[in-house]
Amino acid sequence: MKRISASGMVTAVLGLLIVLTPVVLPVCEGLLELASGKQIPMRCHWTARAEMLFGVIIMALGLMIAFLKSPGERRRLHHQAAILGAVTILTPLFIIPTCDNPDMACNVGTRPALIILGGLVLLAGLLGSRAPKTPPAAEAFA
Amino acid sequence: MKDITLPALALQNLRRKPYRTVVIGLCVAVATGSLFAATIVLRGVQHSLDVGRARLGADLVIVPAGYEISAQEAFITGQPSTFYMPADVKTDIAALPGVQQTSAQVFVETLSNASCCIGEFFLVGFEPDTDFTISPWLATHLDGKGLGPYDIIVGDRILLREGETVIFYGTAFKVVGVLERTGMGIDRTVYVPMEGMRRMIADSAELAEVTLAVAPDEISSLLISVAPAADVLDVAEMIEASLDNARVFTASQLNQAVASQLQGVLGVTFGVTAALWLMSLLTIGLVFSLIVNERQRELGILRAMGARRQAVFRLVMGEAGLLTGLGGLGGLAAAGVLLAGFSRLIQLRLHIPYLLPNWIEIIGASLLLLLLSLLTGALASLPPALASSKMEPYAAIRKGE
Repeated sequence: MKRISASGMVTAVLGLLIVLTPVVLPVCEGLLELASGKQIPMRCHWTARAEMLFGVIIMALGLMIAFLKSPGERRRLHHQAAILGAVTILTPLFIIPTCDNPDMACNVGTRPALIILGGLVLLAGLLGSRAPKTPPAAEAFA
Repeated sequence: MKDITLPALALQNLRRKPYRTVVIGLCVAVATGSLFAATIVLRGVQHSLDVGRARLGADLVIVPAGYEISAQEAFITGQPSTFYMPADVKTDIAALPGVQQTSAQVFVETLSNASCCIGEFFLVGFEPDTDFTISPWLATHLDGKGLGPYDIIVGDRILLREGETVIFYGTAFKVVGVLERTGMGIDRTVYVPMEGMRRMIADSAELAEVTLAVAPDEISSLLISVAPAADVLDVAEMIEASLDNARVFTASQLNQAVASQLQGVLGVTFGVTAALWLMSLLTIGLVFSLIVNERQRELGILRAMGARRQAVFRLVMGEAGLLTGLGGLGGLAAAGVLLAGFSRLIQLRLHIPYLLPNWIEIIGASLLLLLLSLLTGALASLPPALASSKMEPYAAIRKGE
């Protein structure tokens, strides 16, 4: 029986943790009032939403890596996981930056957690996407 | 063919049992990492208190009776706190022997929708002529230029930079300086010259959503610098005896307040870490004695091939050293990343001041803990390593079959 890929399971768990981060370490809860009087959530609210979506995709990728049999497919998915890890890091920093005040909830808890988890996904993706040391000849003839 | 070297052999043995290696490595990593984090937080708090006390400059602080705790909290964490007492306490105190200089301050809390920042911040009115908290900084950073009534100095955590204008209670102020980071409440404080503060309070009835109810003859705290020849505690006692509705606390009491806050958390952390070390020591000892038993045949063959007793001893010790060394390094790296990322969260949740200690201290603590994890490995694997090196090759091969 083909073994389940450990790096795939690690990636899936990291994806789950990314989904859970805004729940465990919530972003700012206040609302901003526009000149029109309309109240809208702060910017970091959308950062959290985007990151939760990335977390779900990373989790799905991890599970696919874990249960797929083809090493080539696994490598390709590892590459994609690494790219998503980088996107997870870049989102709270540049793509949808969190609030300006460094003391706000999104900056003291959510952002560092997402950057660390994104870094681990990137690392797992890069390590998993390395070429195997011996060519999978046995599998080819199996 | 490649030569077999002891480090390569030790590494190969560790890689052969990845689950066992990872679990023992994690034990050491958790123990080393938590001890490193606790040490750095402790040193960070001390460093912050030193820098903060030096910036505060005062030996004693007088606040209205009943507000000692909230005043200490305000100095340590910058949690806004407002309280007032009659200003004439200043003239009474200045006349006492041993008192070198006094300077009054008035505390006001910003409104939560202030134009600079979300949340409440501390506005501190100070007297530029007598102050010893901000004035020494002004002398070196503003090239001796005077401070206008609406010129303000802000702490590092206030989102304002030099040259910007900000409105508090309807009055516009100009930022003329940003203080260096201390990790204490000063970082979340806005310093306003007393004249500007009094005008802002007076104008708040007309210009602001909320009217400030601070009388012109009221102050919040009185900072005292004690003469070099006088004893701080003696002067504190004398002041305490002469005051009815005010209390005095010393700068060193700020340390005590922080220490009592930290005692519980750090006590538990150190206790758990000590238990983890002991557990790691016992686990490594047990696992290595099992490994030696399990590999008697392999070690016997090594001896039969010409390996000396010393080589077998070094192989077992090397494996333990490599395992605990890598675990220790992993723990230090993980603790370093978590501390760098969550230091502000720790500071806010524990209500403690924190400023990263200097790099020499951090590197020193890391090396010391790495050495400790290596020693743990050496100590735990010493008995099995000795036993394995004493085995006779033939008996070992037969027993291991």
